Amino acid sequence: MAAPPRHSTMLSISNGGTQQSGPNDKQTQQQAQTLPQSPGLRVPSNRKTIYDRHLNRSRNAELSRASFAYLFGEMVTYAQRRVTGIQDLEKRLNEQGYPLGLRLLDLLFYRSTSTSSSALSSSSTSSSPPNRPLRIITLLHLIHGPLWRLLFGRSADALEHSVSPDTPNEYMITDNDPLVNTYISVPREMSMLNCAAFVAGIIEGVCDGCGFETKVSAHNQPTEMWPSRTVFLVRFGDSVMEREKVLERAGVK
Amino acid sequence: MSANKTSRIGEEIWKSVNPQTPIITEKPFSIYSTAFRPRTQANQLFPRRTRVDKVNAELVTLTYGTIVAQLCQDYDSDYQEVNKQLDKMGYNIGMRLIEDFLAKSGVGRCANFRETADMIAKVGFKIFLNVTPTVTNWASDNNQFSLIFEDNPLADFVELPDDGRAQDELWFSNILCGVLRGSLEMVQMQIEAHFVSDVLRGDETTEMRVSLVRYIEDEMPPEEE
Amino acid sequence: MVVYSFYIFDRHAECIYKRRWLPRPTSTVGKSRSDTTSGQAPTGLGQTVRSTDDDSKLVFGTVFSLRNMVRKLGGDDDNFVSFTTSQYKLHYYETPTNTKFVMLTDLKSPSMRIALQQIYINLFVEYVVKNPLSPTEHPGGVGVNNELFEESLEQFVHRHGHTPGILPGYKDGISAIKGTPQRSRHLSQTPVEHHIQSGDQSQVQQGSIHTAFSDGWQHSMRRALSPRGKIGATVGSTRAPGTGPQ
Repeated sequence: MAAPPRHSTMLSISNGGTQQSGPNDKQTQQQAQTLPQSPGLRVPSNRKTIYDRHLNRSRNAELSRASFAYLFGEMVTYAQRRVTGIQDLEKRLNEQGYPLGLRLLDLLFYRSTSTSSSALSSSSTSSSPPNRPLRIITLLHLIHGPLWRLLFGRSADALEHSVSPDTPNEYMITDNDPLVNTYISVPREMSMLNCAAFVAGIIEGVCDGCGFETKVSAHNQPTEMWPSRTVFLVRFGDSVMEREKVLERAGVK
Repeated sequence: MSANKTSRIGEEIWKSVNPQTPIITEKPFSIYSTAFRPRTQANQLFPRRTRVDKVNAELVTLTYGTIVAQLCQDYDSDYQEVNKQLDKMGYNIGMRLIEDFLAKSGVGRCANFRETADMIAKVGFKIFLNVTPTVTNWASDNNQFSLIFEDNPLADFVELPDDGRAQDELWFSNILCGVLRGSLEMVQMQIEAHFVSDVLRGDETTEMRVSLVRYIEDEMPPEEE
Repeated sequence: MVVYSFYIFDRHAECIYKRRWLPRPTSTVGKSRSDTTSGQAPTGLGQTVRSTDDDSKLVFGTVFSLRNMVRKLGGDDDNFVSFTTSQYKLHYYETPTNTKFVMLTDLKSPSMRIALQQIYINLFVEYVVKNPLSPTEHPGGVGVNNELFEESLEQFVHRHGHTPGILPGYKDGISAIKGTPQRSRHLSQTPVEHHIQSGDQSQVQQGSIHTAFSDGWQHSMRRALSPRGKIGATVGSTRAPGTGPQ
C-alpha cells in the first residue's frame, strides 16, 4: 500500500529533522519573503509558519480527550457513510491511520536522535536517521514502547509472538484499553467491529515506513478485567521473513 | 458575567481545581456487561472528581490532518466542497460537544450575545483546544464579532498544498465554524460563522467572523390529531 | 425509594428514551385507564419503548406547560424541581440545550434533581453523546438505547433504590423481554466459542482469525517477548490488572 501522494504536502511533519528552524533560516526568510522549499506559497510576514516553529513545541502539549473523541467520531461516521460493511469500514479506518504512521515514524526518529545526542544543533540533519530498526523485534519494540507513549502516554500492554510453525510471521501487540475505543459502544449486530483499525493502520504505516511489508488488523479480545481489550495482529510479508533470516545469519541486531 | 470571571472559569475547568465545578468522572466502567463487572466498580459510578481528561495534542492535530487530507482526496481537491464537508462535520461535533461543555462547565444560559462570545472564547476554546482566541471587532448592534486565533492547535504542522488553489480556496480549520454553529444552535442561537483570514494562506492573522442570525424559539410538541 | 419510570425528551419535544421499572400504582380513578392499557403493561416493564406511547406525551405536556408557567411567574432562569401527587413524585431536570430528564418515583423519595443531573453528565453525555456510532440526534430514540447507557442507568437506579427487592425481577424481566441471553453472561461462560460463532456468522475471514487465536494463541502457542526482545517465558500482561489508565 502506498501513501496517497497528497498527504505529503498537507502535513509536513514528515520532513522531520531537516526543517527545524534555526536562526539562519529566519534570516534567509526575512530577506526573501518566500520560502525556498515552496516558492509558490504565501507566508505571513510575522513568520507563523511551520518552518519557524520548533518541531518539539507541541511535544508535551495536551488537549482535551473529548476533542480527540469528537474528531475520531466524525472520522468513523464519515467513513461509515462511504462503506458497505464492517470489513470495509475497518479497511477505511486502517487507510486513514496509515499516513499518520508514516509521519509519526519520522517524528519518533527525530525526537529519539535529538534527545540522545546532547547537542540539539548537530549540523548533521541527515536524511537517514541512524537508528532505523532492521530486525523485526527492534521494530516491534519501537511500536510497543515509544510509538505508544507518543500517542497514548503509556506503553502497550503486551507483545507476543506466535510459535506456531505455520505462522512464524505473526506477532501480537495488545492494548488492554485502547483510547480510541473509550466512548464507543458497539451495537450487537456489529460486534466484530473494532474502530482501533485506525491504530492498526498507524502501526502498518510505521512498519512500512521502516521497510517492513506488513498487514495489521485489530481484534476484540475482551477479558473479564478488560472488556475493550484489543489485539493488533501484525503479519509480516514473506520478503520480510526472508530478510530476517539473512540478517540473523549475518548477526545483525 | 464579567470577562475576567469567564476566563477564570475556563482556566479552572482546564485545571479542574474549582470545587464548584461539576464532577467530571472517568468513564466509570466500561463496555459490555454488568454480569462480570466487579461490584466495587458499580459503587464507583460517580467517583472522585478528576480533571478534564487529556490526550497528547499531537494525536489530535495529526488526526485532524488526516481528516482534511482524506477529504481533499475524496473530493478530488475541490476545496469548496472540502470546506463544506468540514463545516458539516463541525456542525455534528458541535451538537455533541455542547452537551459535554455544559456538563463540564456547569454554566447556564448567557444573558446576551456578548456574554456568549466571551464564554465561547474563554471557556469553550479553553476546555477543548486549550487556546483562548481574542474576541474583538464587535459590530455596533452587538450581533457580530471576530475571534482572532493567536494559536491554533489544529493547524500545527500544516502547510497547504502548493497547487496554486489551496491558499485561495481551502479554509483548513473550517471545522471550527461548524462546531460553533452546531453548538450554539443547541442553545437556541442560530449563527453564521466563517473564516476571513488564515495564517496558512499567508495572512497576518487567523480570524473567524461570527454573526447572530436569530434566537430560536422552543419547539412545541406536534399537535395531537 | 422506588423508581417507577424515567424519560428523556430532546429539544424537538420528542421522547428519545423511556424506561419503566415498576408499574406506578394507580388510584381508583385511574383504574379504568389502566384496564385499557393492561395488554401493554408487561411489555413496558423494564423495556425501552418508543415514543409512540401515550404516557410519554402526557408527561411531556405536563412538564412543558409547568416549566413555561414557572418561567412566566419566576423569570427566565426559574425552573421547577419536582411535583408530587398523592400517588407519585415527578422529578425534573432540564439542560440549557432543552434536553429534559424526568423521573417518577414514590413519595418517600428525596430530591432526585442532582441524580438526574448526574445521569445527564455521567451517563448521557459520556455514553450517548460521545458515542460516534450513535447519531447526533435521536429521532425515535435511535442511539440512546445502547448497552453502555442502559446498563449504567440500570445500575444507577438500582443503587439509588437500595431497599432489597425494590425492583423485583427486573433482571429476568430484561433478558426475557429482549429475547436473547445477555451477551455478558454468554461471554463469561464461553468467551472463545462466542467469538468464533459471531465471526462465522458475519464474516468468514475474520472468523478464521479468531479461530486461530482461540486454538493457537490461547493454549500452547502463547509466548511473550521479554523486554529485551528475546523469546522468553510466558508473560501475560506487562501491566498488572487494575493498574490501567485511570
